[in-house]
Amino acid sequence: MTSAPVLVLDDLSVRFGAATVLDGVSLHIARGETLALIGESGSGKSVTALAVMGLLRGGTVSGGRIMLTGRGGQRDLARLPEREMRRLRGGEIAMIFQEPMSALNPLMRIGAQILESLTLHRPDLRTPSRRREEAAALLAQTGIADPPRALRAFPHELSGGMRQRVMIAMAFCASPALLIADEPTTALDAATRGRILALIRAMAASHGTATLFITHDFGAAAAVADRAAVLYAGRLLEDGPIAAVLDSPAHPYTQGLIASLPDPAALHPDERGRRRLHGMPGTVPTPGRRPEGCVFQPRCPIARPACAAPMQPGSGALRPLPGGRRAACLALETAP
Amino acid sequence: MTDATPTLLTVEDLHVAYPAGPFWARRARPVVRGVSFDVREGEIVGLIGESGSGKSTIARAVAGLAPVTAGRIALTGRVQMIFQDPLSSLDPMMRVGAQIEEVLAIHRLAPRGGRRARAVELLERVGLSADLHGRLPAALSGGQRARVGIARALAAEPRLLIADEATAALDVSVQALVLNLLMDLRDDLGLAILFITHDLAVVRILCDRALVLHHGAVVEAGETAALFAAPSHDYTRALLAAHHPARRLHDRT
Repeated sequence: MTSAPVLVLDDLSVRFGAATVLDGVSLHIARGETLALIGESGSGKSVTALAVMGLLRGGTVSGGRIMLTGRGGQRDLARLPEREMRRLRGGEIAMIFQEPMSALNPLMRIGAQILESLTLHRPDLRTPSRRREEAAALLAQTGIADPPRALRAFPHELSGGMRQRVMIAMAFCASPALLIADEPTTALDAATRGRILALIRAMAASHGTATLFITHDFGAAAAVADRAAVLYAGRLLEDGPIAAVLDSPAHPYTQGLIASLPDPAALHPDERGRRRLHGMPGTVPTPGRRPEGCVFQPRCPIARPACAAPMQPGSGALRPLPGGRRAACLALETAP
Repeated sequence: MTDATPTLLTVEDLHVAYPAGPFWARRARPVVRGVSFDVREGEIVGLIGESGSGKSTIARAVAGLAPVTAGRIALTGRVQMIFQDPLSSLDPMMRVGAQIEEVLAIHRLAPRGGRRARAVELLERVGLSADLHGRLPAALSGGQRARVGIARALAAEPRLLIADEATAALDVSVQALVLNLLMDLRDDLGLAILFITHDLAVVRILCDRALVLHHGAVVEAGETAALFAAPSHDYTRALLAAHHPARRLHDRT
């Protein structure tokens, strides 16, 4: 991939009032690539998505850039007027959310909702009949068995998986440069979840769409992503190829997360010799009360006094490791 | 688990139906169709199924909260429930300690003067610090709220706990600690737990036995390890195939 990445977050910070919620996040996604942004509640992963979409109600981008390279050239979304942002959303930037029921209009038939998107974002389809054909074709692409029937249905008449397929069809109606998927499979059953993840991957590949896949679910990340970035308390702690991050995490936080997964291999004897999971004691610090130095330091099993020292500007950034990986941990820097 | 271990819950040929259709043509829509199982002391039994499989309805029937149309439910001792979202089951206006003490008072399990001490003991039992006693639920993290939900359930001195997707909303690092706590309660108190979930990975860690539900009927049941090693029913196999642990990266095409 020689062209510029579709999305580059460059030292992005977001503030809500006095609280810094996102603190110097840098990442990039290439054309056709899927990046899983993994984080627990309060990590700032959804705020990252909202910042890219320009939907930070009550919050502001307090530093850094959000560079999107699409059909309209390169633009900094952090500085784009709302009028232009509105034109991008649903067109060059598509979105899918956890709960399609809240994104779909319950009083409108599915067909009318897809036609609305096509009218807005596909000026090349000049006639209503062309748009209707395209709507049916999109639904067929997402694996809906009987598109004409789905087009006539109201959202409540479809299953959760079907509704998510409709959302995916709408998201891809204008071949978006960037897809933001925020926990799109969390509310689905295991079987449906696997099929929807495969569908997102296939659609993104065929449209060359860069995907920012926001999740707390390692299984979903493993199924869909090429690379992973781990966010904790508003800072990026690690990123790299998905297999490397999940199989041999570099940062102590990622290691703790992976060891917490309900996997029989992760069971280990406790002090009384009973088989227990790892878990991570402590809680995620809230934005106003984040510690000095490394944000994970108060919960870190290998923290040293130096980890709590106030950081110099820019020193919270990720440092390169072998294998295209990066991590923000003092312990990794001093290792040979 | 020996045969001498007392059975706390016996469910025999349970049928549950909810009313459906317009009021002039009400009919009964069966949700649970002839389910039988038992839960013994000190045992965690998983009820696995997808949405609509009837797993939560069975839990509600055991707790006396669903219309049983046929069958028998025999229960020894008290049963308590814990839910997915403790914020909706805890009183937002009432301090954590007071909510636990309320349960002690209702069941007359501690004298007025001893309730505070017992509430603190219960908070510590679930791994919370005593100074959470005076907090409101909104001031707690998700993991702390889940633990308060468990402490409040334990206050009634149940022999059986029904956990309906109790860890589904928790982050993995927090979920791990809550699963450890449930295993500790089983091992230390001999508590039996009926654990309802769609998360097979959690069942594998936590449950001694599991039942797989599909369209309101049990399609397969057995020891968890055996069930995972050699599922005999097509639906169980499909469910297991659809579930991908994070480590199985290389199956992807």
